[in-house]
Amino acid sequence: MAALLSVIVRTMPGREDLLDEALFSLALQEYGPIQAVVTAHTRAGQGVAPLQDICQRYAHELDLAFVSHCTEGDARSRSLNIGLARAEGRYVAFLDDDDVVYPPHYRILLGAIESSGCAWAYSQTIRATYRRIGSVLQPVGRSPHPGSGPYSFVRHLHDNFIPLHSFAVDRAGGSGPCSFDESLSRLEDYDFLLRLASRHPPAYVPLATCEYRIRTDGTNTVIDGTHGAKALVKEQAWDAARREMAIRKLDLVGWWLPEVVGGGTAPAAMHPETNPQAAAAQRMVDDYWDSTSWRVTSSLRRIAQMFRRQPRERRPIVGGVAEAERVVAAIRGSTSWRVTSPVRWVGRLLLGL
Amino acid sequence: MAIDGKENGSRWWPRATSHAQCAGIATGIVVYRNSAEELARCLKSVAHQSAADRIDFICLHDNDDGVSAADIDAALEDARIPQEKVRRTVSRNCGFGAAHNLLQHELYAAHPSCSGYLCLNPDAVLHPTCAERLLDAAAAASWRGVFEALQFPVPHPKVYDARTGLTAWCSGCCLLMPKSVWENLGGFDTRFFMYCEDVDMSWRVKVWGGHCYSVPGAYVGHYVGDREHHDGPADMHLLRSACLLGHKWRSDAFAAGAARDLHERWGVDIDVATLVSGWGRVPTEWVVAAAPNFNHGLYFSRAYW
Repeated sequence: MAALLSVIVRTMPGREDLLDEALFSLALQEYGPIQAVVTAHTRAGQGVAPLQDICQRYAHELDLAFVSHCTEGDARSRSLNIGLARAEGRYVAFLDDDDVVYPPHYRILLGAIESSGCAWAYSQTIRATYRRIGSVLQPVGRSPHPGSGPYSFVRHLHDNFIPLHSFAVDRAGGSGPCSFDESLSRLEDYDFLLRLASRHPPAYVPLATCEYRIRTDGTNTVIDGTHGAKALVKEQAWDAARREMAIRKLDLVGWWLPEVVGGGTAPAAMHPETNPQAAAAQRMVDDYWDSTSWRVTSSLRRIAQMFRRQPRERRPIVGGVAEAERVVAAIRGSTSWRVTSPVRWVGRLLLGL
Repeated sequence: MAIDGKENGSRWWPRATSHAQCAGIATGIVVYRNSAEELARCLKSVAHQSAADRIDFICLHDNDDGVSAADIDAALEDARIPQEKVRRTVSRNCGFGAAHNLLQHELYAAHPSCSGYLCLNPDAVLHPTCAERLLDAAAAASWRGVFEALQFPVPHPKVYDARTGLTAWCSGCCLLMPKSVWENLGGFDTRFFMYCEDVDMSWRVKVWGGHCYSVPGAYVGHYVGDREHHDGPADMHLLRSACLLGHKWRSDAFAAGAARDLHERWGVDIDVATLVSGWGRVPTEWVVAAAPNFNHGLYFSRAYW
C-alpha cells in the first residue's frame, strides 16, 4: 500500500467556493491514500459550518480532518503549523484554497521523491488568470509561471520561484524544518523552503502539474496590480516581509550572501506576484489586450496570421514596465487599433456626454 | 415551477424550487476499454450527486462487443449502483455518437417519461453538485437547449458569457440533453465516428431554436493534459471528423485545411472529395442560424488562450 500523503489546505470563512474547487482537485488525484487537513482561520464571531459542509461533500473520497482556530490578525503560518500537527502522512504537501493541483500532481511528485531519494520534490506551475464577473470567476489566461525551472540554491536565494502547492516533502528523513515561522505573514513558505533546501536538495519535475490562480478582483494575497487602499496595505505588508527575509537569508547563509546573489542584502524578488512594478506592467498590457477594440478585431488578425502561416497570438506576459510599453506600443500601432479608433472616439464622446 | 430568482453564492442560475413537473433524467456512459477502476470512479461520482434522486437510470453501453463486460460489472459493484437503476447495451465499436444514440433510443422507448439524458465520458468525474447545477440551468432555460459542465481543473478555452452561459457549442464530455433535443434532432450525427459530433449537434440545436450553455459552477473532472500531444489515432480521427464537419457546414476552406493538417502531421493523404462523398451539406439558412465558427481552428469558437 502506498504511503499516506497529508495535504494541508488553508482556508477561511467566506471562501467556501474556493475551498470546494481545491478539495475537488484533491478528490481527482491519481495518487492515494490522501488525508486532507483543512485548517480554517476564523476571527471572532465567524462560524465554520459552511466550510464543514463543503468538506462533507468529499468525505467519501478523501480522509478529511477539519481544524479551525480563532486568531486575530494574519495567521497564515499558524494555519500551516496546525495542519502539520494534525497531519498523519509520511508525505506532506500544502494547498491554499484558491489554487488547484492537476490529477497526476502528487503521483508524479512522490514518484520523483521515491526514485531520487531526495527529501522533497517540486514541479512546474501554470499561472492562470481569472476575471470576476458578478459572482462567477472566469478563466481568461494561462501561461507558465515565471521562473519555473531546474533547481539552484543560489537562484532560490535570489528568487522565490517555487509556489507553496508545487512541492511535497518526505518526512521520513526527519531532519528538515518541521514548522513554519509564525512571525511571518508573507513569504512564510519561502522561509520554510530555504531552510529545507539548505539541508536537502530537491528533485525537480519538469512538468506543469499544478496551477497558481490569480484573480483580477484584488482578493489574492499577492500583489496583482489592483489599486486602492487594500492594495496599498498589501504592498506595505510585502515590503516588510521582503526586508525580514533579507535578514533571514543572511542568518541562513552568512555575511557573504551578497557575493552570490548580487549587490546589497535584499535580493529583488522577480515575480510579478511579489514585484508591484511587474504586476502593474502586466495590468497595463491586460487593459489593452482585453479592450473591446482588440477583441473585436481578433478574427481579422487570426485570418492574417493563418494567411502568413504565423502562430496564433497569445496574451503577452511581461516582467516590467519597459517590456509592457513595447507591447502596448505595438498594439497601438497595429492596423487593428487604427481601424477601430472611430469607435473609441465615439465611446469617449458618449462618456463625455 | 417557482423560480426564486436569487443569486446564490457563485450560482447565476435561479434555483427551481419545485421540480414537480420535471421527471428524472438518465446518465449515459459509453465504455470502450476503460479500466474498472476508472469506470468505478465515474460511477461513484454519479452515485454521490446532490441530485442523485433525480437520476433515474445509469445507462452503460459496452462499445467493444462485450469485452468490457467484466470491468463494467466490477465497477458497478464497487460503486454500489442498485441493479434496478442500470440499463446496459452492447455492440461492436460503433463510435461515440451512435452509441449514445442507441442508449437514448432504448431509454426513451422504455421510459418515455424520462426528461433528459446526461451524456458523460467514462474517464470523467462529476463534481458533487454538477447534475444539480445542470438541471437548474435547464429549468431556467425551459429545457430549450443543451447544457454542458465546465471541465476541471483545466477548462476548455472556448469563451462563454459568464452571465448567461451562452457559448458557441457544447462538449459531449458532460452534456445534459433534454428529451426534446432527441425528439427533434435525433441525437448525434452517427456518421461522425469520434469527435466533432458534439459540435455538429450544438449547431443543429441552434438551428432548431435552442441555445448552447456552459453552466458556471457545474464542474466535471476531466483532465487531458498528461496525454501525449497529438496522440496519433485520436488526432487522425479528430482531423478527419473536422474535415467532414467543414464540408457539412459549407466551409470548404476549413475542410481543406483539416485534410492538409492530416497530411502534414501524419503523412495521411486523403482526397476530400472521396471522403465527403455521400455527405450532403446543410442548407444555407442553417449556416445563417447556427453561425458556425471556423475561424479559430479546432476550437470552433473564440478562445481565452
